[in-house]
Amino acid sequence: MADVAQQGSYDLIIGGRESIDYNGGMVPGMLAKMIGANFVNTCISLEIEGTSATAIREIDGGKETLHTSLPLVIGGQKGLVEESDLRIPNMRGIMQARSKPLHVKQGVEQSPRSQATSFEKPAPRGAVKLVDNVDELIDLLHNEAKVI
Amino acid sequence: MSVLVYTESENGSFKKTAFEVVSYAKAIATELGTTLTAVSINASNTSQLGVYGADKVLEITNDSLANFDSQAYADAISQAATSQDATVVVLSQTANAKFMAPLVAVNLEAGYVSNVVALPQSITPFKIKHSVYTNKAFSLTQINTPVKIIGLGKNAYGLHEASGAAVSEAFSPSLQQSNTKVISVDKATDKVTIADAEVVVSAGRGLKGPENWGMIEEMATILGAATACSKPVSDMGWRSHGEHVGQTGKPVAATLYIAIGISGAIQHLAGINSSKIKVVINTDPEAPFFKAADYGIVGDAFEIVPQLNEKLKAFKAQNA
Repeated sequence: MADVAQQGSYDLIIGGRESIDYNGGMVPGMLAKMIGANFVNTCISLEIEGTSATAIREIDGGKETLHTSLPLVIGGQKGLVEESDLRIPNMRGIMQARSKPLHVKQGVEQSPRSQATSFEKPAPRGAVKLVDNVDELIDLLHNEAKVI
Repeated sequence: MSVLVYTESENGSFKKTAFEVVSYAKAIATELGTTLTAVSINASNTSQLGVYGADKVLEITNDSLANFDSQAYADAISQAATSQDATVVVLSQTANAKFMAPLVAVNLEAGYVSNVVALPQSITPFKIKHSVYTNKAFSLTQINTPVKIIGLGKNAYGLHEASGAAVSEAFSPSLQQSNTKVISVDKATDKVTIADAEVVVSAGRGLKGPENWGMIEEMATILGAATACSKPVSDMGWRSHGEHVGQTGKPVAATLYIAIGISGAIQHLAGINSSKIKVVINTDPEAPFFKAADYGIVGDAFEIVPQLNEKLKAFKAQNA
């Protein structure tokens, strides 16, 4: 992707968040660093004016407003687009998209820095303990689970 | 060869995750037969890190790092790693750590594995277990590069004290002019955040309306917990998006997660299943959440929650 991005000298590259490694969010960041672009992760709002950009990102317990400039890579997440503006594409849109040129690029030879070697499932969990009253619940949380 | 760990602080005080990553990094350093160096940025009381096993602390004090800046922080940590000839760099998985980790990885030409849940299974080759597919599976991943970066999931290892004291040393990275400036930070300072909380009290559509959240907030206050909600609740604007937990919201790795009036859609469970103990209160005995819970009460939240609050208050008063 860095190779393609560099060839196209794009001003803005938008990445998402959901990923196999449970939202590790590493691809947009690595891409930005490799092409020397600025980077905003967990981005929930973006305004661009000329070559400068104002972004809002989610932080633990709140949000932060940042001022940065293009070229820019963002890792976007829920909130970047209003829920009401999210539409499933209609037939006309799908047909229009079909007529757009599709460029196929060759991959770059790279030796992997990391690779998955095996997968395993989490241990099966025990059945839920249903209780009838709150006294019993507090007793279990205190004496059995030891979490309060 | 050495192990380097970045210890995150806020307003000068270390976060709990800082002590957890130090505990974990110490175990790796021991395994490798080497020393552990911690890096802190504008933090005081760095001797605390010695308690969890840091042999040395590189203290960075720099006004231009007062606000988190991914580029500058990543450069500072990368330079610290290089100065120590570090072969393993350990980070947490807070929002800021996840923001800068890929930048550090590119700087150090390192392989990076996120959401790690255990110590390395083997050192040569370096294989480590981490959580994937929204916690529905674990992957054993091999890192091939000389420098390895590990993002340790919250509450995955816990705190382990080690005997020893840390030697502090000032460290001044050479930083470039930053292209990104923080204009404002909007953060509720009087509330426990979901990321930091040990206990999270979460409620869903079963509460019928935002006006009924008083009892949820009351429970959170009693337990010193953070409040959270399900996706429909934040979509309808009953609560802010910052409280939404689940696959598209915030992940929760709390010690205790209490879900009230949440049916337990698969996307919600994906966000909370790293929590240790899950309690579900729901009127519907068939709610899928009961299958993922440790303890459950089938019943009406409007009857049970006020009762539970009263009893919890009494319990806290007795055990204070």
